[in-house]
Amino acid sequence: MTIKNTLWPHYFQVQRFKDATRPDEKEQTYFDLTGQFREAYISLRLQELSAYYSNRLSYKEVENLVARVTGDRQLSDQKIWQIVNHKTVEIGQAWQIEVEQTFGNKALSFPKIQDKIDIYDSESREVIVFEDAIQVRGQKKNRVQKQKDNEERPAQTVAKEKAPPVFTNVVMLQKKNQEFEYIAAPVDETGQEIVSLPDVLKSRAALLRSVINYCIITQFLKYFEVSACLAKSSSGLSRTDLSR
Amino acid sequence: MPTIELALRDDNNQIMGHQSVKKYSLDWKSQSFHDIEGAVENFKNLALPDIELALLEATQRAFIENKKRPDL
Repeated sequence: MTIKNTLWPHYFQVQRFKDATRPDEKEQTYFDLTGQFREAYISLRLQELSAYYSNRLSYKEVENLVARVTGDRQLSDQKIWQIVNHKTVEIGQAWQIEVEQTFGNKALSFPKIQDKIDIYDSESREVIVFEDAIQVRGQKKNRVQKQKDNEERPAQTVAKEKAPPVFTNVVMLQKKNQEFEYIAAPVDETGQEIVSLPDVLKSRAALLRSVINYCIITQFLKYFEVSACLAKSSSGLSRTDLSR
Repeated sequence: MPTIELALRDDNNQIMGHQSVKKYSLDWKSQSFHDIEGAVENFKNLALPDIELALLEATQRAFIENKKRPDL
């Protein structure tokens, strides 16, 4: 088999094992028995490399980058998209579990979130807001289907049926050490939030309250009060990114 | 044409893998830095996958040997 990795891909003869005393059981490979390459013969480092640059470049450019760095066109842009999507779901599920566990902890106290704030109200309390709404186009599942659509439908119809945009809301929290922590809501494979952003924030603040001193939490709460606004924001402050 | 010889040894100083010493020729056309850099980069692309493969084969071999041990 060929293992795709951060170096030149190489062919590896993997040993297969079969239990002679249990002929009905399926044979297992060395990788099965050592818990490696459970999903695909792509190394974790190559997956990490492609996922890291997918945050900075288009999938097509990452495909070119992988070819440039490793010397071989090992991953297609669609495969890289699948890797990123899979990892996103994996991380999202871990966050979901973390939030659920936090809410289940009766020893923690959770701050309230003000759902609506009129940011144009001159009487309202001044708060510091960081806002960055990233908008990207939802992608087709595969390019073949898109080409087929283009062939079968008139051009005008296709133009009207563009993939819907995917909104990602990010909240940035300033810490005592002047560094920032970025928080986004976890999503499933379709891009739908599986835990609301305010709930993620509440959970995060409850955890931080138990480990960080009060002045930090007070600062956090200032950000909290505007978190609901971020979810609805479409103001000119938002950055629109349609490059992918 | 300069040559690099690469030997992979284990903790007991024994050669790992089937091939005792592997040789890589550095193909530099002229002696400019550009060509030297290209030759070394080419060596890296050839040698590192070989090392990775040799180590992977060695760990698989050790795993198989371990499986064969009757005391385990």
